[in-house]
Amino acid sequence: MIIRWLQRGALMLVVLASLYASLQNLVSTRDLGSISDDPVANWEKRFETLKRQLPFTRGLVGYISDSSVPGINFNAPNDEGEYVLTQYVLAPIIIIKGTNQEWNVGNLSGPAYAAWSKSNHGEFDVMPFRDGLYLLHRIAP
Amino acid sequence: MTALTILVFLPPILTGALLTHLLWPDRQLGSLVLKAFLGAGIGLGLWSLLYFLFLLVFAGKGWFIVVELAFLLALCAAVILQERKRGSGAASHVTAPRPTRFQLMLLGLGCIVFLVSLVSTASYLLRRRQGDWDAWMMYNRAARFVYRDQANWLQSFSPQMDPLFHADYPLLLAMNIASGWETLGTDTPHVPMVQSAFFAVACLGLLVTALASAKSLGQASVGLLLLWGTPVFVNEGAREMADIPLAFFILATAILFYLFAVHKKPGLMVLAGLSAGLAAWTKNEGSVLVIGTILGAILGFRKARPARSLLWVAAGLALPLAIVLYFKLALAPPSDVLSGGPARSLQDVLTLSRHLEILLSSSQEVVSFGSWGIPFLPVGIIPILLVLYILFRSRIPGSQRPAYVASCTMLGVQALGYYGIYLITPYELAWHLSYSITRVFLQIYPLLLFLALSASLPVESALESITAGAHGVEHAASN
Repeated sequence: MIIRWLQRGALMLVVLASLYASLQNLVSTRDLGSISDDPVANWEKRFETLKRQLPFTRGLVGYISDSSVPGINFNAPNDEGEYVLTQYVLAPIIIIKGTNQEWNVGNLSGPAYAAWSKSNHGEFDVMPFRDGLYLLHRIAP
Repeated sequence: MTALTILVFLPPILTGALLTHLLWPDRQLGSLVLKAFLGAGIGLGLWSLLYFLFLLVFAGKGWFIVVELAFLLALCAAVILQERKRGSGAASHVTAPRPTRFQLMLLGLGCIVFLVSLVSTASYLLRRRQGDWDAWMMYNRAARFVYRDQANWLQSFSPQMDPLFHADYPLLLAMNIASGWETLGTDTPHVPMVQSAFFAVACLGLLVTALASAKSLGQASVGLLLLWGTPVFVNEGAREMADIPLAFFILATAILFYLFAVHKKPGLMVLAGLSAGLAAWTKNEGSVLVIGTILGAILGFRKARPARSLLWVAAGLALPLAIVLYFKLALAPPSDVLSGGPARSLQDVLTLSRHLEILLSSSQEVVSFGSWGIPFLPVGIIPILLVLYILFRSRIPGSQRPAYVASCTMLGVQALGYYGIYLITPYELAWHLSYSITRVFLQIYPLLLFLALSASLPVESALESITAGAHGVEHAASN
């Protein structure tokens, strides 16, 4: 008889716990942010103008960010997240870290751009865009 | 747009259901519902293979929809012919079970959890329209490469791409997303959103209908409560990643083993092979399932014409495995798992501290995985499942034992595969474990639920008096 009561207790626990957990989970999805906010779509918008300036839609493009500029503080997870997002929004263009390509994207904060500019001695033609975005066209080898 | 996107996924789901019916033409109501859910995942997998083959020959032509419809019509014709051949007599087997009050109560509570979790899924999807990190790093990114420049889609696997983006990953999700976009004419995020939700619901539906068929309605309701009452599973179903689709194929393969042990229809073993092959087309870990399925079929069904069982599994495996091998050997860049080289891998295998770290992390996950977040219940779902199994344990009928041997072999091989990958991972082990171990458990969680609940007494037995025997309980539950 004890086993029957234990079985009933276990079933009751499963029912109550799963009801509680599912309701709790529904409430917690609010913490993911607003339904109207889409950070990936915002990132896409940020790159729209720059993409139009590229002379091709498939190929290789270089990429630098704050982590590429010596002496600049940066948040490593954010820096990597922005790199991944940039590849996502520029697809089917392949982005490659560094500025060895003819066309390169600079995703740089103010201090990082200022530091990088000092090392640019006429190798790049720089097209600035909004929010710290730059298109760097290599004009000298 | 969402309604249109759902329509886009109907042909693959119908195709899967029809193919499943063609290979296992059982007409019982329970079997038909089970086949609808089984067919949903199988169909999405087949569609993805079909689109990959289409692109290899006709990239940039843009008439995949014609192939889709032709394939669907051909299957419809084959099923109609088969049904006509069988005649209407067999339809008399269709029976509707009469549930008890207890079963209805459990089912009602299960439906509440289902609806609440479905709203959670929708809420998660709407707040993460492009999916989570891995989704836009791998699957949705790969789909964009294919859709946005289809004529040059093979460039998507360029070795120049940063290995971080895993261009070597199998393409089940990406191909379906790209073909959905092609049909709709726009790369809307609704396509990966709907695909993600479809796989989550199909996985739940498959578990519930299989438990209803194997045990009872009460058992199926408890399966529903345990799977969709586990937040980590529900949220994963909305993250647009490949773990739930892989969980679907792992579960489907085990259920097909079970159904084969019960019905002895060769088509079920063909479907088991197909399901394992589609797992390999979903995620790299899915390739381990292929090995587990072959070993499972050999060990589980060794007493009943093992060569034939293996042949049927091989027949199902052939197409997806051939495509996976072609993709891996001819198109994909090298996998990051083996990037350390054989010497480094051997050194990792011989390092005791790595073994201890993996075992410790795994045992912690066994205790805490799928926690309900209830203050007085500081353990996860696996210890609770174990307690349920102990309380309701029952003797597995001899005819069904081969299925459990096969599924447990599959589970063991899968666990060994995960262990091996962690052992030789080129990434920092602690980071890799913390980043992925919960998802690894998620991949096998529906299978664990099926094994534990199908091997137990029906939960209806909890209402029986002490004098009622287990036989009576089984009999009552099956009504």
